[in-house]
Amino acid sequence: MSQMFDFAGTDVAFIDGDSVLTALVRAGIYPAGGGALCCEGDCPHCVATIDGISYVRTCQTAPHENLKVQPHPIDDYPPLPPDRGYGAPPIEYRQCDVVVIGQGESGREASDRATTSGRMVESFDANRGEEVIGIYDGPMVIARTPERIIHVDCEEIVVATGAAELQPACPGNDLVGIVTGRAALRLVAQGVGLGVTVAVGKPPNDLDCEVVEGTLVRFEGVDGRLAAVVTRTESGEERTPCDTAVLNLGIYPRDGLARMGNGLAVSVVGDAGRDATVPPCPSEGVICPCNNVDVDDLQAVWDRGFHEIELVKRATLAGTGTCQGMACMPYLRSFLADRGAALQPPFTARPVARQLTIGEMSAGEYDRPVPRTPLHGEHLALGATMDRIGGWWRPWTYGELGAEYEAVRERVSIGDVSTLGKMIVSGPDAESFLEYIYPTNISTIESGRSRYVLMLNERGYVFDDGLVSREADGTFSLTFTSGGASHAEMWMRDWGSKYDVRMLNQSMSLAAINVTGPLAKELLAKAGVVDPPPYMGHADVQVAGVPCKVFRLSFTGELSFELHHAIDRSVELWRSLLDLGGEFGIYPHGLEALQLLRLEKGHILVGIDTDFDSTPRRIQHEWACKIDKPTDFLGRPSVVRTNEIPLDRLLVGFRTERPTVDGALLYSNGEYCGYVTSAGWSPTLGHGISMAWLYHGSDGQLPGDVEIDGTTATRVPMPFYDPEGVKARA
Amino acid sequence: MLEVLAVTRVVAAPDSLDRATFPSGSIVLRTAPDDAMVIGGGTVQVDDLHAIVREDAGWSGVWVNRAPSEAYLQASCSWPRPSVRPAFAQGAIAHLPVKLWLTEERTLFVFPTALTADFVERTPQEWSA
Repeated sequence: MSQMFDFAGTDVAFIDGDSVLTALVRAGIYPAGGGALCCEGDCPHCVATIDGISYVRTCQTAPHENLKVQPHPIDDYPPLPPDRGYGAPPIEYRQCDVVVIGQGESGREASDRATTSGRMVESFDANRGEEVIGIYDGPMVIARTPERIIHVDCEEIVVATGAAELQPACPGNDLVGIVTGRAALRLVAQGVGLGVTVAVGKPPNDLDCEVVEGTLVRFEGVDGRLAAVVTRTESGEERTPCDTAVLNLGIYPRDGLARMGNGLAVSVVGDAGRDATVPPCPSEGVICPCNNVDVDDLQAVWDRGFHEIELVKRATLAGTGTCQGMACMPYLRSFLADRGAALQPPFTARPVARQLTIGEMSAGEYDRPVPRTPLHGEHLALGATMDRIGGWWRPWTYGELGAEYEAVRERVSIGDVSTLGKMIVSGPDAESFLEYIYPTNISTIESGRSRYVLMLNERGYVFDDGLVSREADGTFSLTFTSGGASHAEMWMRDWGSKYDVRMLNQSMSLAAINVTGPLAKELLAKAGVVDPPPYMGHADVQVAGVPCKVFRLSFTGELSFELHHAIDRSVELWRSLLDLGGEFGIYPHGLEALQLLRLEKGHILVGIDTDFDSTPRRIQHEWACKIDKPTDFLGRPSVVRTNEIPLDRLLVGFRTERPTVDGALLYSNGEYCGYVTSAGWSPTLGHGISMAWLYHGSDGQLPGDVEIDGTTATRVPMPFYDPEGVKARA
Repeated sequence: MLEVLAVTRVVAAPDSLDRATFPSGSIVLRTAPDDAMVIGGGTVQVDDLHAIVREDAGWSGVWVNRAPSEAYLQASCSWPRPSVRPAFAQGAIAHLPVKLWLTEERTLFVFPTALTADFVERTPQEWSA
């Protein structure tokens, strides 16, 4: 009993040795509606949607029961799959010495030679269902099999992909009934009847057919099917009726993969490396069946001045379709040579050589991992809305922004600041190294004390900020911003290589909880901290039985203590603080509240309030840049130079009577003069506050009042809240 | 079984680290010339006055038998692993920063605890059961 697959609702029988295409042609079905079939994967004339995947070459697909084949729409793109059932296939990574692509005679010889010389060889062959889809730097080969995607890192690649038969470029080349010589042999071998057959050019051995004389002019057809071949002979045009035309117009190297490997260790053997046949220039007809580009189109772009093959490709899209130039490349080259642009080399080949599904393209890919603090589960249990901020999952709010804010300003609150970058630096050169890294004085930081620091790059621009603390044993503890920690570590290690220092990154090993609010000391006292460190000091103490390094500083503007501790004790500490703080009305705060609190205090967020070219002067942080300190520091020459230039912009504060938003534009007398970097409504102050970049006017002066979102904004000094810093130092 | 590892980090001058003595039975991963990760706890002796020696609770790990670990790595690790065991290797695996301790019978996968959720999502379910 015959086996069957489905073609657009019709059962199609297939036999052993069939491809989907040979079975279809036997049934009188041409999946793409016509065109010269090659049966070797070189042309676009057999592609169809198979089991929901479009642009599949039916000539290289083995049929099986339950297979469903759909033709592509004639004048449209095939529809997307109806569901999401096409995920990423498995991926496999391999390493070897030599990859041989193609296992014809020359490919097998190359494999044997490499194997005999003791080299590890991987081979791929399209006839085994293994399609190489690209050669990449490395070199690396990526191949697709029916089961998986394979990446192979190797030392050398041998391309042995053979040569394809030329497609015809003349009127009527889209008719049903045109086949290349090799295609004819494959079809006949599978018992497919070709009817009355004629050959254009020398027919393949063993194929019994009439050879038409003369030069191919056109194909003529009836109802889309070939009816005759018309050639030109010395006596004029001759018309030869037939059912099938078998073509031998020459062969063309399949060198697309080899051209992808330009500059890499790629060699080409066999027919893939032969000189290309350049056919006579076509006078009319389609030369690119994938994108329906004809000779008139080529002439039109030529007349508009596109004479380079790369430009003609871009202007017409010839060579960018399913077959990636296998059909059109010979004719593009012959056309341009005929028009006087000399014979040009083939256009650049780029991956991918075969159509891939989105699933296949995503094989082996993952989302960027996002670390979680040890308190992640605690936040969720408290109903927090989590978001990815600064490269971490962090609590944005616990659902009560007002309560979070009030707890900090009026009572006590805790926040998870485990995401801060943290590093220890020690060594004989630790101090001199840090003096060079930071633009502030390090030598004057006493043991047990901390100092706010900017980080400048060589151009004197601010790229991070944090804290430097000197320990009793002479080591230094550093902190960086959450989002900048990775870059800061790279920066430290890079510059540190010139110094005798030791560095340990503890960003993911230490957690940190910020205890903040007027009653913070009372809470810590209940947790056993009777003698907390002074402002900008730090100490190693037990908090609720958990060993902590307690830093006293303030980002919220209130009395604050950062408790750094081992991450495996974090949940215990968090719960203890919440429990002990119950009598003080403790409530945790998330990032949304923190951003408002720090804005009231005028603290910058590097990367939000700063730009890539923010100097200490532009952000009004010259106090943190000791230009006259006795040792040199990174960025100093640039800071000195830019300080000589008249100031062109300043990060300033504005007061508004209506709320504004981040990114709002500033206008002065109708002229654009800057933008808001951070905005909020201060519950304590009862008005809107903004931090904004303000540009100097043409008179060299900073505008005073400006308009933001149609409301007047008054420039005011920062901090907006507690400008004397009394609360933080309480 | 996936677990938080008892780790001591030792950062010291490379020649001092070469001479350091580590607790017997511990696994020492030399992640850099000046950096060692000691798994298993105990006291490290290193003759560098400026060495940084810290207990580090930030690492988790899972032991996996050799065959399933190699099958997983072939599909998740784009770089070649050492051909001889025991050996240490580190790099991106399933786009996660992972350190491997490869013995004849098993492989230890070590990763930052902060990335546990991603690790669990990207490795076979039975590893974290």
